[in-house]
Amino acid sequence: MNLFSNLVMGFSILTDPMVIVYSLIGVVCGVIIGALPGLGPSVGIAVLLPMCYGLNAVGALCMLCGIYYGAMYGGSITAILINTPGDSAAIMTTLDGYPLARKGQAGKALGMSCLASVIGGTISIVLFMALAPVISNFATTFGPSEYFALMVLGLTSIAGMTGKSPAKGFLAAFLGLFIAGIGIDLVFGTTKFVFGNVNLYSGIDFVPVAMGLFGIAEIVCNYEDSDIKIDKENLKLRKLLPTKQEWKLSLPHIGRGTVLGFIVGMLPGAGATIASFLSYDMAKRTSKRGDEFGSGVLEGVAAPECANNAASMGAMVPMLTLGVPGSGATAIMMGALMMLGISPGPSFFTKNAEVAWGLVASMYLGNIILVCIGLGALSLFVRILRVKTTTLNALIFAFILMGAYALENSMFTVGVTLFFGVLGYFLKKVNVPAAPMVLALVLGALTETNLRQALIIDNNNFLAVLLHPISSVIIVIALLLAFGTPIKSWITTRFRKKTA
Amino acid sequence: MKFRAQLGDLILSILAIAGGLAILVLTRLQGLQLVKSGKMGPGFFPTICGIAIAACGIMLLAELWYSRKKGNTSEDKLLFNTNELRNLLIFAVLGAMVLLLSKYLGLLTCLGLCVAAYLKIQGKESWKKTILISVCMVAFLYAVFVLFLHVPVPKGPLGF
Amino acid sequence: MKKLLSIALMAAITLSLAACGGTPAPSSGSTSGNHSATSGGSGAPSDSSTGEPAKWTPTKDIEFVIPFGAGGGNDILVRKMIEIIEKYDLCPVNIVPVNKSGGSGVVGYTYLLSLGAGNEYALASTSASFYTQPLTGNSPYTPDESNFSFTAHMVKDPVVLVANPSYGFTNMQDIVDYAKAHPGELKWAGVGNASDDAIIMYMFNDIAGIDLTYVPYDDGGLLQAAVLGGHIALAPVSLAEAQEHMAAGTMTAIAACADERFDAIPDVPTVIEEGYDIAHQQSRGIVMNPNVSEEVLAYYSDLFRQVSETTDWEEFTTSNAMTNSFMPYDEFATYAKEMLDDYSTYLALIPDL
Repeated sequence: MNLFSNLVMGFSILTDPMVIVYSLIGVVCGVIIGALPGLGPSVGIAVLLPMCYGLNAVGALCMLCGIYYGAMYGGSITAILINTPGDSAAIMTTLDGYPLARKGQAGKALGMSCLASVIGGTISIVLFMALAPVISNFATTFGPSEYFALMVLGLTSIAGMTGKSPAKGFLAAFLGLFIAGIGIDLVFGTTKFVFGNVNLYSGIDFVPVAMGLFGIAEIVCNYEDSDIKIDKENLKLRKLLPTKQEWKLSLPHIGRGTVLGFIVGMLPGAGATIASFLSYDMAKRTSKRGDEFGSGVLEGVAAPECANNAASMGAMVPMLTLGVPGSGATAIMMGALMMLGISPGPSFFTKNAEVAWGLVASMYLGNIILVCIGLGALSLFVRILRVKTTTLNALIFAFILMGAYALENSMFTVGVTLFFGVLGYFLKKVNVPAAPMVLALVLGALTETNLRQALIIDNNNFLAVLLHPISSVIIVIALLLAFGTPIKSWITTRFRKKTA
Repeated sequence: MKFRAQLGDLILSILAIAGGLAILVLTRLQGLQLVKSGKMGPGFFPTICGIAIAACGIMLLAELWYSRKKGNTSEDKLLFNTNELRNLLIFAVLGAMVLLLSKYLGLLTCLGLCVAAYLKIQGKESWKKTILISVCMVAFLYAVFVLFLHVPVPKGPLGF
Repeated sequence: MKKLLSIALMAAITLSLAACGGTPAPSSGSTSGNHSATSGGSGAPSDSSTGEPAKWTPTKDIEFVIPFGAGGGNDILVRKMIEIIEKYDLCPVNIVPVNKSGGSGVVGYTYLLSLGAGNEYALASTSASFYTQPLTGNSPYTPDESNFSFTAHMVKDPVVLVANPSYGFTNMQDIVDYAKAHPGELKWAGVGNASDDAIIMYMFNDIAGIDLTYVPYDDGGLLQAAVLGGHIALAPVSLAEAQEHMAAGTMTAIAACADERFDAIPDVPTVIEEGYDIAHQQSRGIVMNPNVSEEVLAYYSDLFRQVSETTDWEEFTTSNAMTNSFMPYDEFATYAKEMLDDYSTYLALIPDL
């Protein structure tokens, strides 16, 4: 019962009321920052880092983790209410969350998102405790070729998002892939499609693009007072929670999404975004009402939300046990840890047992705080939708532009947001879906980088890149997912013709 | 001429083909090779994207041709309406104003003016309500972004 | 606003009083003792420079441009300096950090220059890309005195060469032997394509007559994972990142790319001791716009000298495995010229640029 005694030690640290206060402050700040359009966990942790100076290690770590998963949840609030994903992990939440809000079920979507996050988070903590000290090496089995295969798997989920016209979906995806290529070439250092503008050197970030395509395009289309009626009666907590029937539909997806999210999250660089994509795709494929995904289905909110929270917990494994940060947010957290004199690494759990198990315990606490805040403030969030549409539009517009500025402290990102807002409006009018474009933009740069690194490592032999054992398995899965359904239907029609 | 969905698709496909070709030409012009010193060159992905975007345009034309042939015009509805375009124009003008003037007036001032202008023009609110909402919003943004998050915003003559 | 103003005013008054009283030594108990021993013998200023205190003093807030994202190495360094300045009240006005990331620093330096020549209230921190980006033709400025005023040099950032243990390398000769037997097979990972990491490898290739292959990464974390997983054989990493792995045996330290051996790993020789003349290190300093008067430069130079002499700074640099190597503005200007020359020679070694 080593685990148990460790946990007891962890919880004994929590008896310090200050730790609880730090955790609370962290979660509250995280939710607020995550809810601001454009600002996600990494920005949140970076700007709030100075608050942690001067705290003891456990307190600082609890607060940082609080900000981390608070912001993870906060991102889904704007995604559901105003169709503006706060960070890349919340993109998939907009697909079903916003339609739900338009149907007047914003409260239910938010409630599900909160509960799914917490369930995903809690299961992941158990996984974290059981696995972190043991399987830290899993993260390092993935090299560039394996990552390339994983990105290909992520890109195949685009096929499920193309809607009625595959041509339009793929057009959007390749446009995103092209935009991902803008900037300085990693291998040769040449500038690509930069046209002398220094702001384009580091490429175009997906956050302003997503805010433009989703957020701005939405408020342009949405100029009349909506017919969303929210009665006082519907604001009661019981009405905001999912029903038994809805739980029955969602729980399997939450379970699967959590495990998938945790595994993907453990891979540095892949992280919460890909986890949420894959989880949504998996839910869509396995759900009985998969065809209705995208029109406002509660499982479509639950699956990506639990996955991204599980992934953010999974990302802590390589960060703490290998000293390898898996995402922007964990990189900054690691920097903070090192400033506090704790160096994460193979001996983290033995050397800093108190900090490590205190952290685990604080994660339990953080999740409880998150569910209290999330459900407590639910009716408050939903009330936002009762604001007159024009007023809401004006405020969203100002918030999006401010968030765009704060991303890189630059007016250039504001311009990018506006440009993609106008582009997004016209694309929306001709029914070109925005999600594949943003997805390809997120995955595109990673795909290119990893493929090119893998090629250099395997002496420019493309076949050798695909034949790494893990890569080949993932590529086969990707191919089956992409072509499985058409092949199956082709075979069945063939078969039927013969028998007929 | 009414702007219908099929016309929109036609224009989209033509733009996609033109855009795809433009990407290919630009890749050549910028000297981005497909293969460079035995390694995958910087032009490899852009070339694929260019070809694929143009191909999507052609696919779209084919889809359009096919649905035309089937005589499926039930979905051929009007794309734009004037109210929506007016809304777009207002946002575009306000956005351009923020981009151009925030250097001189300060970002927060500009955003405040934006909100006020939109509330007055589209929302047709009273002056009292307009000013109240915009001032509150600026104060909130100032509190969150400047005081709490220490974002260095472009400041105007008023000091914020 | 009023409150801030009054605090600034108060600080200004106390500071000017303190300045009249002599050297504005850090007010806390920790004295600004003589740390020149830790400054790598690079000529830490003697007390004579404080004998004639700078006449210029700032009267409004100073903007400190960080050309990299929040949370990165450069960002942490600058914020630490500001923290120390505030802690010991070294400067009468606020110093406000401004992150302008993008294009490996190009966006930040371009922003600094846009504030206008002769601007006395804007600083920026430098790192390797300050020199390398212009040399690879990716910036609108050149890193010399026509474009920048060199203000103060703060630290050097030495790295340690590590190998995945499965190769069984223990010293550089092992690597050379293996590489000669298997040309092109050993992979060396580094951050960026025209970076210090790449320069060190190509210098090694050049001197030892071997053929290591460079794999560029854009993220230090993934690079480390690649070495741990054996996808990559060799990489130069910062000691702070790799120390735990060396202790656990998941990474083998081969040599220190530094002037002297690291205190933390005294058994690991330097590259020079191993017989390869590669003394290249990343240097981090502070620059301003051109045409700033010498008085202003002297003021800032002196300000950052005081920072570099605090115990806080020493603790910070040691825990991050940096070498404290303060240089005043005139010395830094000469040093920067040498750095630029060095970089242009080294970058010529890198093919495909």
